Amino acid sequence: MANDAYDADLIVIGSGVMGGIVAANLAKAGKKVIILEAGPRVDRREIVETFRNAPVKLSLANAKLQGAGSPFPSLPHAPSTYGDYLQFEGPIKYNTSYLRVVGGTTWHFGSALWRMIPNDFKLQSLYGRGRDWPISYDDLEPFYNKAELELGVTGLDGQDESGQGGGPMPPRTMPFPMRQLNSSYMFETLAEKLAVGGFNPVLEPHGRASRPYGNRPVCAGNNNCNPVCPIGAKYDGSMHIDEAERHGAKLLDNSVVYKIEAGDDGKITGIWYKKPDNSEHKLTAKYFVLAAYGIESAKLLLISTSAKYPNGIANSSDQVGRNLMDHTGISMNMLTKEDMWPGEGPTELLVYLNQRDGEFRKDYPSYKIKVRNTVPTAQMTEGFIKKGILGSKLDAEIRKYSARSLNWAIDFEPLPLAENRVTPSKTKFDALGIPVPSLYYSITDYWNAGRDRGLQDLNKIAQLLDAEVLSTDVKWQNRQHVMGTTRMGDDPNDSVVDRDCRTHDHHNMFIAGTSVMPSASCMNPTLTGAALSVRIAEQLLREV
Amino acid sequence: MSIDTRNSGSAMSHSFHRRDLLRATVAVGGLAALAGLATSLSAAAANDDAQSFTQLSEFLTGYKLDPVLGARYLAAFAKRSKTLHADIAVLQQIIRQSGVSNMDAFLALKPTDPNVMKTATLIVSGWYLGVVGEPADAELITYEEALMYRPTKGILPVPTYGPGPNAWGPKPDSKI
Repeated sequence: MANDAYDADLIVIGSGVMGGIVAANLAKAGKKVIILEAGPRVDRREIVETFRNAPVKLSLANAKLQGAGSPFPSLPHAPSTYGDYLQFEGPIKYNTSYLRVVGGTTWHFGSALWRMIPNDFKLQSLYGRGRDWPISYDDLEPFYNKAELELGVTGLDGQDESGQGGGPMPPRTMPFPMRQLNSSYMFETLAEKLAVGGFNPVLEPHGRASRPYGNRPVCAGNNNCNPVCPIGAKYDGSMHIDEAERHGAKLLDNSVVYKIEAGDDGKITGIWYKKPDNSEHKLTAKYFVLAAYGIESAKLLLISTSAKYPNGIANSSDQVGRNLMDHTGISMNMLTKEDMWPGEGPTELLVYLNQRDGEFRKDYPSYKIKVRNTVPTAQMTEGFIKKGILGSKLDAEIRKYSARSLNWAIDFEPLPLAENRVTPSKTKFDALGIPVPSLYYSITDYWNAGRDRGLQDLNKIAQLLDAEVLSTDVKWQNRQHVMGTTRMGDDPNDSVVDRDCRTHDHHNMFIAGTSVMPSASCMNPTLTGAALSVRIAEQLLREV
Repeated sequence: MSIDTRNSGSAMSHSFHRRDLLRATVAVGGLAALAGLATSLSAAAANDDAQSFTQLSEFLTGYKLDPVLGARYLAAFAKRSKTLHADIAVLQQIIRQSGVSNMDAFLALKPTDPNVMKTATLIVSGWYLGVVGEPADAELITYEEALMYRPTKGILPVPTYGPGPNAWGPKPDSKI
C-alpha cells in the first residue's frame, strides 16, 4: 500500500510495452502506480480512419514531410518523429521513427517477437566483438516464457531459430502461447526454391493472434501491421496500459517528464513534468521505472542535471546515451519470372537466419534476411504512370509487378560504439523548451564486411529464383530498433544499469526497455526488452 | 457480353472493360453513356460537367466509374488548374475525332500533342492512386476504390480491408 508520504508506490515514465508490463503487474498486485506519457491517448478507430483518409500514406520516401506518412498525432509538446523533430549528427542519419502516444511505438511495429539465442549473450568471450551480457540465456529463459504470455506470441514450436535447419533452438521450457498463422503461397514457394541453395526457412514468431487471445481477435490478413492493425489482433502497448488502469493505475497523458531529481544519498526523490500549457508539476514515489524509449529515456537522464549530478541522473559512468545501436541494414528489389504474390496475410513472417551464429562473427556481423510481405501496389503505380504507361498495359504492369516484385532486406548486428550516442540538442527545443534528441551515428568496417557478405546472399537468392535485380540499397537503412543507450553491466564504471536493470547510481530506479541491451544480436529486440521488464516487475514486487 | 480477361474473377462486377459497356449500351439503344463519346460529348459536358468528366474518365481508364467520385475528382482537379476545363474539352475533342472506342486504340494512334497526353495522364493518375495533387497539397478522393488495387483484387487486400482469418495459403487463382 502506498505510504501517504509519496504520491505513488511506483512511477513509470513512458506508457509503451516496457512500462506497461511493469505498471500492469504492479497494479494487479495492489500497488499504487502512476504512469506518465508525453503524448495523448489515441483511439484505434480514429487512427485507422486517419490512415485510410491520408493522401500520403506511411512511406519512408515521404518521411521528410512534417508529420506526413504516419496517422499518429504530432503535437507541439510531443512532436512526431516523422517530422523534423529529431536532430542528426555524424556520417549516418539515424532516422528512426518512434511514437509518443499512450501505448507507444508497438502501435506501429511489425510485431516480430524473437528470443535471442544463448551465444548472443556472449559475443565478446566467444568472438572477441562487442560486449558480453552479465546474464545468460538461461537466466532470461523463464522471463521469455512469461513475456510471450504477456504479449500473446504466435510461433512455430520446434523450429531451429538459429537458422541451421537443425533441432529446436533456442531451448524453450514452454511452447508458444499460440500456434503459427497459415503460411502463404509466397512463403511456401520461396522456401522450396531457396532450399536448393541451402537457405533454411524460418517463420517468425510475432504478436498477432492466431486464436482469440484476451480481447484480441484473430489476424485477418489486413496487411497493415505498420502503421496500425485495424482490428487489434496485433499486440500493442496500449493493451497493458488498459490492464494497468483496470487495476487502478493512474495514467497521466500529455505529461512530459523533463527532470528526475535525486537526493545526495542517491535515492530518486521525484520527477517533474510539464503539461501542454507549460505548467510544471512534481510527483514523488518510492520507486521509479524509466521506460520512455531508448532515445527519450537517455535524453531525460542527460537533461536531469544538478550540482550533485552535473552529468545527469544515472550517469556516473558517462555511458548514458552512448552505444546507440540499430540493425542498420540493406535491401534489394527483384522481379521474379513467376507469380509470388507478396502481401497475402500479415506483413513479414519468412526469414533466413543461416548467418545468425558462428565463428564468422569474429569477422563479420550476424544477420537476418527477410522478405517483405507487404502489398506493394501503392509503391509502384505512380512510377508506372510517370513513365507514361496507360491503357490496358497499366493494369498489366500493376498486376505483374504486384505479383512478382520482391523486396528482400537484411538486418545486421551492430557493435556498441561509445561515439554513437544520444545527446540533448544544444540548439533545438520543442514547444515546452525541452531539448530535442540529437543522434550521432556511424558504422564500422565490421558492418561493411557484413554488407558485402549479405549482398552475396541476396544475389544468390536472386539467382535461385531466376529473378532480375531491380535495385539495391546499401545506404545504411534504419530499422527502428533502438538499443544500447543505457547499457547493462556488472561494472558501474562502464554501464548504466546492473543485471537487474536497476541503475547503479540510484537504488530505487530501474530502466525498462531495449536500451539496456549491451549487445544487440541481429534480431528484433522487443521480446528481449519485454522479458527484462517482466523481470523488473518481479523484482519490484519483492521490494515495493 | 464478354468480360475482359484482365479483370475477370471475383472482381467481375466492378471490372467490365469500357468497351464491353459500350457494346452493352449500344445494344440497349444508345442511352447516354459512352456511345456519347463519339457523337455528343461536348453537349453532355455543357449540361453536366461531372457526368461528362466521369464518362471521359471511363474511356481513359477502361473501368465503370462512380459519378459521385467523378464529381469530387473534377472539383479537386479544377481547384489546381485554371485551364482544366479547357484542357478536358480539347482532350474530348481529340478522342471524338479519333473515332476509336477504347483507350488502347487511342494510344495506338500515338497522339502527338503533349498537352493532351498530360491531361489524360493527370486524370488516370488521380483515379488509379485515389489522390489528386502533389504531396505537399495532396487530397485523397478515395482509398478503397483507387483503381490501382483492381488488377489484383481478390488476391491482395487493400491494406486494412483484409480477407479475414486464414484466407490465404493456396496458390491464388492464376487467371486473375
